[in-house]
Amino acid sequence: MERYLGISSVAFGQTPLPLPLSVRVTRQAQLEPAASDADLYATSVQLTRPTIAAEVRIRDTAAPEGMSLGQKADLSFTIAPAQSGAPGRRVTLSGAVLVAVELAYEQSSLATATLRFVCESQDGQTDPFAAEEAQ
Amino acid sequence: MSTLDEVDLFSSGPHGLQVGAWPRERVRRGFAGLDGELVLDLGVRSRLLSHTGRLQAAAAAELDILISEIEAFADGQLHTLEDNRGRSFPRVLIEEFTTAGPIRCGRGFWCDYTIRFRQLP
Repeated sequence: MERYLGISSVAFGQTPLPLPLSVRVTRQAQLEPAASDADLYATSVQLTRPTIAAEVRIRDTAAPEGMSLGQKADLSFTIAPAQSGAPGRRVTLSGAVLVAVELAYEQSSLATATLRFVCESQDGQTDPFAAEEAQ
Repeated sequence: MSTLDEVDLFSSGPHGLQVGAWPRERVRRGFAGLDGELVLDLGVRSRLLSHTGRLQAAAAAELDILISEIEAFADGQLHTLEDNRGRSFPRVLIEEFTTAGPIRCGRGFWCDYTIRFRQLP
């Protein structure tokens, strides 16, 4: 079992997102339960098509200030292994669309930026999420 | 499990039946200067049954078959519908079969549907 500790780098297309605090990736579908008129409990739990979303928190605000909503590029990040010598992990979210930017300027701590992305599948069949061993 | 002419069309997913009341048709007549009115009772007329449910299949082609099997009963002929609780509704015809939007894909393929039956007295 590989364990990971720390984010080595994050980039949105050609734009590096420096000083990453966290990257959160969500794969989510809406729940559509149903039951017959004689049932006490749901007998059908269907799901809508899933969306893959990501939230990136970084300490840098300069890069996000220059980004505009609707921009689309591959979001990629590399996470470092917890044990030395073990391979890291590189995650790519292809077709990530920037849907929200939140800049937080604090009084006595470092400013942070939160960027939210939702992925568009290229052809409707390809999973935008891909993870592999980092080289 | 509901059936139509004892054919299992709906068991791929949950479904339910909303039964409308038997309406009576009447004609009302009023006359100038006279209080009251004349009501002619014309008798019981047909009622509507609304059957809603979900069709589910592992493949889109299987779901198409389930849909076409239901559509085959929209033939203008009278059939007998039996609902989940064993109640029998004779002399029903399918007036309209509609799916709620396109086929959806999640855990397999599925679509919600509504069938409007008309039951003759």
